[in-house]
Amino acid sequence: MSKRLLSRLANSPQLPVIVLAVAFFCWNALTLRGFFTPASLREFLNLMVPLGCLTIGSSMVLVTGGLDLSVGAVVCLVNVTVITLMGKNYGFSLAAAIGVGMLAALGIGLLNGLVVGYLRINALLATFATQSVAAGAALWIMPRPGGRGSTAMVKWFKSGWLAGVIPTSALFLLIPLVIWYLIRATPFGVWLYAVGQDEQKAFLSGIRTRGVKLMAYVFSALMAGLGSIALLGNIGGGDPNVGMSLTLSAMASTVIGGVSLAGGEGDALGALIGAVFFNLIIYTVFGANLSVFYQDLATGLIILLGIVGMTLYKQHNVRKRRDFTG
Amino acid sequence: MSTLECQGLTKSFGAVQALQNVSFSIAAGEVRAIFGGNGSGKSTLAKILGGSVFADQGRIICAGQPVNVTSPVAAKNLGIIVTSQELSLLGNLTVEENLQLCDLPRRVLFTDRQRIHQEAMLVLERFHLEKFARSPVASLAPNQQYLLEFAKALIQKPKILVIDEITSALYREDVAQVKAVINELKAGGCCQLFISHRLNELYDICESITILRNGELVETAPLAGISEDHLLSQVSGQDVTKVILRSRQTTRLDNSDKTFLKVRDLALPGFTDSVSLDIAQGEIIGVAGLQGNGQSGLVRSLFALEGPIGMECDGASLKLSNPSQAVHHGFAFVSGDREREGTFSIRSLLENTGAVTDLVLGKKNRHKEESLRQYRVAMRSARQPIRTLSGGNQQKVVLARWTTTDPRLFLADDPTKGIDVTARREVHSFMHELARRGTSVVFVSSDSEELVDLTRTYSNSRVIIMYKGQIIQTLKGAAISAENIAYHEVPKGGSLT
Repeated sequence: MSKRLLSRLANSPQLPVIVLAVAFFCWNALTLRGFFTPASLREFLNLMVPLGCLTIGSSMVLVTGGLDLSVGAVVCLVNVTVITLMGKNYGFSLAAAIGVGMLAALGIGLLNGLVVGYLRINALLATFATQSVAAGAALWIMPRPGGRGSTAMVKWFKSGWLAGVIPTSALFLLIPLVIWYLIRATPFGVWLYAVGQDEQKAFLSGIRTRGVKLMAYVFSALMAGLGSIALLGNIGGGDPNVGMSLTLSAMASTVIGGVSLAGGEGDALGALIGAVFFNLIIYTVFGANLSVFYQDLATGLIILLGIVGMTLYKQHNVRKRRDFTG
Repeated sequence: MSTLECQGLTKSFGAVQALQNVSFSIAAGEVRAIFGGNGSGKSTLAKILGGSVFADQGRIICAGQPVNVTSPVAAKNLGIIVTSQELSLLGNLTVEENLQLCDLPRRVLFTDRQRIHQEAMLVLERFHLEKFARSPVASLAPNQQYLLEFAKALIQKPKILVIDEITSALYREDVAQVKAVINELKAGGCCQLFISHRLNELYDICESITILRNGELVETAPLAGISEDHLLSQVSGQDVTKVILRSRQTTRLDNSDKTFLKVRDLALPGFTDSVSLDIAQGEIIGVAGLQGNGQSGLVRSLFALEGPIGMECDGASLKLSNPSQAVHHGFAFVSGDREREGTFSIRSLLENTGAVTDLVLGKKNRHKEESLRQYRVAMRSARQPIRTLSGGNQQKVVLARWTTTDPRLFLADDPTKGIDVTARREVHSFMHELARRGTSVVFVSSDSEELVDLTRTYSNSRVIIMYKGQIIQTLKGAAISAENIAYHEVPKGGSLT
């Protein structure tokens, strides 16, 4: 049993990211004082959840061969929508405000899906534009940071436990993962990979490719919405720019996690491990006592290492497979 | 019982008339050959029936009812299944997923993996592919993929089946399996359209034939009693017996037996044993063998596509680490995979012709249009993008590209795959012309009859037969025949694996 698991791991496309994540985790545990303590690990988990949600969402779009640049702006839009509705002008309950916020995310997702899937506009340009739309709407709703969410929710998110064993913040990763793998187990899950491999061939095989793409963008936007709720659990306040930097971090994590930018390859778990790696190196660089001027440089170099390593590993695998068939 | 009738199908792409008022009908259980040169409209006809291209005019009538085929899904709902020359398989999915891709069986909401497997096995067993059921399609050999494309059509229980060029990459034993299935479908009343360039297959499998030329229907007739020469004449619009005679009267100009290239102990990718080969100046070497025995690995290795390679050239040692160096030493390489390795699809014919001379060798080629005309490329203008040409004409442009480099060694990896008979003959005569001027030609083909055509009419030639990455037999002169090649392809005591 464990032998089979090992050989599956050795052949898994996610091997490099797993190795990287484990290595940096051990490094942090050994070198950062107080990292390997329950409280600190819980904090690590809480902080990485928003990016984790986004990578799981992005991975589905990337599998179909697409690209979603709007996720960070969706985080902003949902954040300001929820905070504004909970403010004294509207007085929504937390649940109702979250509901409306998720509807806003759904709207952006549908817009992306229609423009990319049905109008066949290039995903890079289309989602760049919808990113502006969502970010603009967020600024319009809340021009400057402010407002307060529910302190009870922050407390629940940051230190709550489910059944005494599951940290509440982990719920925000478990639910998306379960949805992802449920989708993967339907024919739709197979079609995602078919469309990502070759849209024309998928269409000729009788797959409704436009619908498949629409669904992927809707999923991505909803996961960004969920990520925004998790972020709210961390910061508890409103900020129209809060998520903008997450977009490309999510994309880099997804690619490091073994999802191909060309489509048709990778899955949500790998992407999530990519996000774990991404957050681990932030700790590593932070803990290395580097001057603040070099932190971005160091982070950037490690990310580059991850992406290059992943790509080289894949090329090596492709060559191995080709040699096998002759 | 299903019947198919096409009435006045017309389709144009821009200024190119792909189909012009084509009408014919097929009875239930009939197997009809669709025959014609490159660009004659065969594939357009298949695409219209499959719903991926819409006719400008005309009607399709299935079982007496006029139908509207507006998408691949609509075609499938009508029971019209089209196998595609370009293959509709997705390399990242498993064989069994590919087979039932558009209607994967479900249990409640979820994919029913067990039923997928069971249903796939029923079909895969017929083609001896059952051990691949759960492998990704990308790991299958090309001929297995073509069989799979056919199996994918079969599993959808076609009422009208269009087989577009499926056999062009298949070997004899595979074709026999395909034929058995076609006969079975025929007994079940399925109408079938069989598109192929291989005449012997048409005679073997079909009972009637519809001939197209430049998008127009030339003739529909029962196949029995029609001679091969008549078919070829109808396709080309000229009397072929003369063309063939001319090409058989080759000048006997024996180049001195000067060895140009010596390759020693070259290990081909995927094989443990190594191969040695001497190539003489002005020699044509045909490479035969069962699919996947290192034929294309040989020419690809010589072009340094599989990593650095050492050899002896004109008595001096020569090391090539990449194709660019190979080109600078006068090597040329034409691949059968035009789309990926041959053409720059949205660039013009001129740019495609000059790609190597102008961009790699850095000498301005002023005779591009001239060479396009010399190769009789059917074009409106030399500035049209190459993808607007039919497959055969595209390949002629690629040949023109490489011959204008004045190569010393011409490597061809199944360059005539999916090209019609007349264009094939032209390609062969270009090869002869090159060899006569002193170029050595190494020519791989999956069709042994093509190798016979190529080498029998040129005196300084031989056919080498490969098996498991080694050269196991060399045929020369009168020994070169399709039967002899077939006989030697499988070594004695060896088995087909």
